Amino acid sequence: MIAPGNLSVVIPTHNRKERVTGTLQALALEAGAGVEFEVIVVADACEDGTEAALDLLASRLPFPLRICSHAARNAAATRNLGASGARGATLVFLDDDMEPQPGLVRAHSDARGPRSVVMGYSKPVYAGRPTPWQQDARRWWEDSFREMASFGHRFTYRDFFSGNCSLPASLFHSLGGMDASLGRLEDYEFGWRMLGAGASFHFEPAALALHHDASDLDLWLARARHEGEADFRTGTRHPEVRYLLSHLAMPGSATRMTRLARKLAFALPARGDGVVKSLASLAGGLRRRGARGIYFRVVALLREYNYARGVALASGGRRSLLAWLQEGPLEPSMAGDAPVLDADAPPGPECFAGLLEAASRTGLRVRYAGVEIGVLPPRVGAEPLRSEHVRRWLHEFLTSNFVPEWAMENGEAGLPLDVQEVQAC
Amino acid sequence: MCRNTLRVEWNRLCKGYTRAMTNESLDPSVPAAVRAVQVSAAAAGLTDLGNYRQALVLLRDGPAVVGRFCLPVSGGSIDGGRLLECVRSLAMVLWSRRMALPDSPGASGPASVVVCTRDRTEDLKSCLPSLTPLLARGHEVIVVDNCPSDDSTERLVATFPGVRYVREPRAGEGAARNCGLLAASHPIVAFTDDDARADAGWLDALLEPFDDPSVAVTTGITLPIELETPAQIWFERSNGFSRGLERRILDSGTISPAAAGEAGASVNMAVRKSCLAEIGFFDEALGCGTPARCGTDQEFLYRTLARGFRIVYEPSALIWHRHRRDWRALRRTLYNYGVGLYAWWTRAVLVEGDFGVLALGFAWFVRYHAVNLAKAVLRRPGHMPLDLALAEVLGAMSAPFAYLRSARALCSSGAPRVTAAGTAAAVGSLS
Repeated sequence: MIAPGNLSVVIPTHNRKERVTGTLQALALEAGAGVEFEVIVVADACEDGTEAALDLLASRLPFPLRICSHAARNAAATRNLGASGARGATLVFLDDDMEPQPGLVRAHSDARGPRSVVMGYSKPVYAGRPTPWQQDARRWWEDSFREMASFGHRFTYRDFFSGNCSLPASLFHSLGGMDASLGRLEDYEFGWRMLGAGASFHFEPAALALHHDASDLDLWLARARHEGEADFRTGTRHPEVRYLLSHLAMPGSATRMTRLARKLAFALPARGDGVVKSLASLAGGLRRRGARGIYFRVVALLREYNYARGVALASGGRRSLLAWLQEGPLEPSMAGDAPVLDADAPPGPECFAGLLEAASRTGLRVRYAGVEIGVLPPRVGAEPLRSEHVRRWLHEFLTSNFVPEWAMENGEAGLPLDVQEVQAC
Repeated sequence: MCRNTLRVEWNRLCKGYTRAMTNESLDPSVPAAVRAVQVSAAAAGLTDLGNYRQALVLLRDGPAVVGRFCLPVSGGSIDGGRLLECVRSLAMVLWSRRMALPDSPGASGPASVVVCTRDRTEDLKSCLPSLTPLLARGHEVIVVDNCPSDDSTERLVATFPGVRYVREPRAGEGAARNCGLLAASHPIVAFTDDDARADAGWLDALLEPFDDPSVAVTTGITLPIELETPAQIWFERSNGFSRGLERRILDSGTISPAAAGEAGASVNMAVRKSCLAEIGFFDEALGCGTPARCGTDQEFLYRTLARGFRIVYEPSALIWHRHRRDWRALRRTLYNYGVGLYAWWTRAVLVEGDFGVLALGFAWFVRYHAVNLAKAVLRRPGHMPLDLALAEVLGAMSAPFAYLRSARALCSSGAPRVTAAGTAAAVGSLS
């Protein structure tokens, strides 16, 4: 049995009265099943009577409901306000477009650990038939969750999704809450700080909520602009993240159209905004009429433009962006003293832990029969390297590189069929 | 060797394997034995081949078919050394399988298996014994009797305890499949045909990809039970059901929905019922028993991709199919395929507004049908018999009119058409 008040569910909301009352009613079903928790709804600049509706509902709910209001129009500030009043040792953050399914709070509760951050499964659903963009978005969401659930997935700060997650309140408060000055992607930045503080990320499919996603292409493009701004601002706080923007300074690998989109964003934004608006209105029609290839190219360009536009707004222009990027190294590189893992003679468990710890910072060289067969470079903003990460890397490397090379070197007729045969070779 | 050179070479090698495994080397003039051999037992060779002079040998690694080879038979046997050579050429595939990470648990729970049939009790008599073992594992088997001329199918099904019998009075493949979907009690519905036999492990393999919530449909590999007549060998050479030996995950980001035929066919297919609210049911204006003659499954796969879902082609899910034995039936089948393909493309343009299909349809007509016909007229080596090539072309040319006729007949009959709202209501009534 969970002690009263041990979990606090924080729901930030903005003008979604029906949706948030539905969320509370769904949570009520779970409270009836023996799980005890409190709920704090923070209404941010609501003008649709959300507070009044919640006041009416509160007396009928089987859990304590507290309602806070402010007019910050800021998701991070709203979550921080909710967390500041929470009494639970664990905070569960739920967005107001999430419809919790039975077992969600229980699953978050069961997955608790001293520094565990648990991401729930937010299954995207759409009202009516999804648009082509929404169909792609749905697949993206589902693939992201499946990837997090897959063996050997190495979590990074960009896996933190605050729409359906739980974490220790002490961790949240010790880090000072989310950064309200970013405007967007505050959860990524908070994820960065949590990993830096030694938190471990987990994915819990049983913490299931239906995500009533109302996004569409236009909203996504607008968000891309905010993401550009937020990535620049995150980079100013955490210089290691600057690598995200390095592609804007290295046009060599970009196509001509991509370079043009970036140029418009930095040099001719007024004209660019007009072009982008026209193209965005055409994009949906292209897809519906079967011009899929053109659609994907157009959408990629529109996103590139909007992202670059956001970076341009936040950085003050191309020149200042380049100067800022040149202040330090962009990509983490393999350290000269990176530890070496001999795949054919791996170290014992006591040494292996130390080797992985060092490799998390410096990267890992993998050798087989005295020959270096590959490297795991250090990853920015990732959780510490563990054995399952190495195992997955080895599997992917062997499948995509080692076996084809072996086949080419030895000829297809010489390929051994058993693992033992290869080891003998 | 630099990485790019390696990649080019590797692609060449893979293409070599693919060529070696195609059916083009089957000689239609003599019967071919069809045999499946486990990789681990290949060294023993094949010895029970009687008077056959050629054999289609399927190499299996567990349930999966990993290789398909057309080999000459001498003295009623194939030497173990020859089979081992084939196995060696598959080493890359076998290695990849052995190195795979632990499989996901897959879709748990029972499924419904639907067999649609119409006055073919002899075929159905061979099909049902391969499905009845599924009943003991909690699955459901439903026979949809489509507009039967007598009660022989019903009497036959009664001899298989546990198999459900459902009668669909409206003629047409789409109507029968929709009837099966509505009758099924489980969330995933697998389809096979009355002239097919399910391999052991077929359903498990077909259900496994459903652990991905984006997957709405899975399809499997379909191979011939026998290749005894020129008609059967030509069918396998020209229009066999197989879509290769590699697992493929298809969605609208990786393949044009108009090329949905690459994903498989309803002889070996499973559908997640909850996705029907968006995809819709099978279009009843298409398929056997309608003027459009065929294409209901491919059109359904098209909508699956066009609505943003995934299709997984899983070659471990094996169905054995008995191809039509006589030449006349083969010619009719190819004519029907020609009609069905262009009929559903016509629907994609008229109903879905997908004008991209026009370019694909034109390109396919020129590069496949016209080229086949030209080769047949000029008697180029390996050409298709002229009457078969002509049958496909004639079918293709009549398709748009056939679809319009079929759609008009359906409208005038007052039968339900596939609409999102109608479908949602139907799905709602199921749950």
